[in-house]
Amino acid sequence: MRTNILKIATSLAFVFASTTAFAHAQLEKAIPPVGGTVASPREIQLDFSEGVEPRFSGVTLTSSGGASVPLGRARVEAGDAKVLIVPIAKPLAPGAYTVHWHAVSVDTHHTQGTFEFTVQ
Amino acid sequence: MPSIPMRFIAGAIAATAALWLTPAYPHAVCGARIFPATIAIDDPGVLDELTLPTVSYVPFNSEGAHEWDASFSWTKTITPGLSVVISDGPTWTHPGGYGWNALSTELQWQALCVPDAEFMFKVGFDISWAGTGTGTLAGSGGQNTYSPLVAAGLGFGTLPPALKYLRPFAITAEFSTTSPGQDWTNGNPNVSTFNWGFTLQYSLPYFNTQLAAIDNNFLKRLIPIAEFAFQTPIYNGAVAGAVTTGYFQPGVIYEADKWQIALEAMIPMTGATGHGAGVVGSLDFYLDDIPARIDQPIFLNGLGIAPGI
Repeated sequence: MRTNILKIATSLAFVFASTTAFAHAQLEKAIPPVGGTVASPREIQLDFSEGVEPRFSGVTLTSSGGASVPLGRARVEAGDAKVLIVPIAKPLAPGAYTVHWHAVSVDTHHTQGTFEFTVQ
Repeated sequence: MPSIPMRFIAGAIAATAALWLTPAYPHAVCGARIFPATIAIDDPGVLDELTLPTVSYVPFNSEGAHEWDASFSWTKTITPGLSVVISDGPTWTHPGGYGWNALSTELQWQALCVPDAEFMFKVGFDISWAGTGTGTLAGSGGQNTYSPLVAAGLGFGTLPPALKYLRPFAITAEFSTTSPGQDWTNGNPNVSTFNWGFTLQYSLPYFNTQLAAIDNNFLKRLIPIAEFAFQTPIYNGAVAGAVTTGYFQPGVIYEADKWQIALEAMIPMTGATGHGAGVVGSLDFYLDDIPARIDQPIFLNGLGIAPGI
């Protein structure tokens, strides 16, 4: 009995010692789609599993030749901090592009990723 | 000695408390890579996680008996890189009987994560506590058992473009030793073992977010996996007649946002392991991704003792 009480007490102590959340923002969906072929997009939209902090999250876009593409300031969609939107300053020429994204969730966890899309 | 019903009640209360307040949590994240919780060996990360339950069945174990095992494992972070793990569970054998395994506690430290390389490893120290086993397993816990361990994981995300479809692959490995507090008990040898294993996994979630979007909502969450786990005697093995045992466990993991479920076959790799294919499954909850939002390290910013601590 003493052992069981100890187990219960230990478990409950761990539970109640917890405070708030601790989640990673994982990419759920991207526009342009990962690996997709599209007309020149006006923005890059990344949907995450958790809300993100736009001040600490961002995207870089490079062409197949390695040239950096100018982007606007990252922002989250009004009323939905899970959606990060980054405007593309100029129309993209046909070709392959690589998106490097990094995100900091609202509880400060870092995630990152890379994908390509093609402009036809 | 506590009765079996009392153990069930105690376990149920603890489990209910955990689920009610914070369902659970188990994977490891390093850069773009998510290492899922695996069954035969530990994942390479230190995060809040709960495995409840893991259930396995083997038709003929090393002693020729049918065997059912169930267990739970709860990892609680103390600082962002330091955690404590509590594990326990019962075993049924026929012929044989029922018993509750010795309670196990483990301290883990996330020693390294290199996000761009998708590489991480941790070290840990596990103690299986004497006197906490019951029933047919009451005698097996007559002394503490000590297990230092190291676990590592490497994603293949840095492969060149020509090999980009291999990037979702990852390998993880765990190495540990298990040593009883005494080499002999009442004239009987206690065997120390070297425990080693690895996994090879292909992450369709990684494929979906890094290579090409997968339209099917079920497929894009699957991780085919093969696990290998072995125990090799390193002391008193010859005296006790112990030899290497191990399983090959092919299977698949379904990874949702806040939980995962894994199902694997258990194929004995040596004659001493047993014979006939068994099966094992586990359900894990990602405590840190649960909307209850009450799970994070007790000391969120660490204690300033060492990286992650």
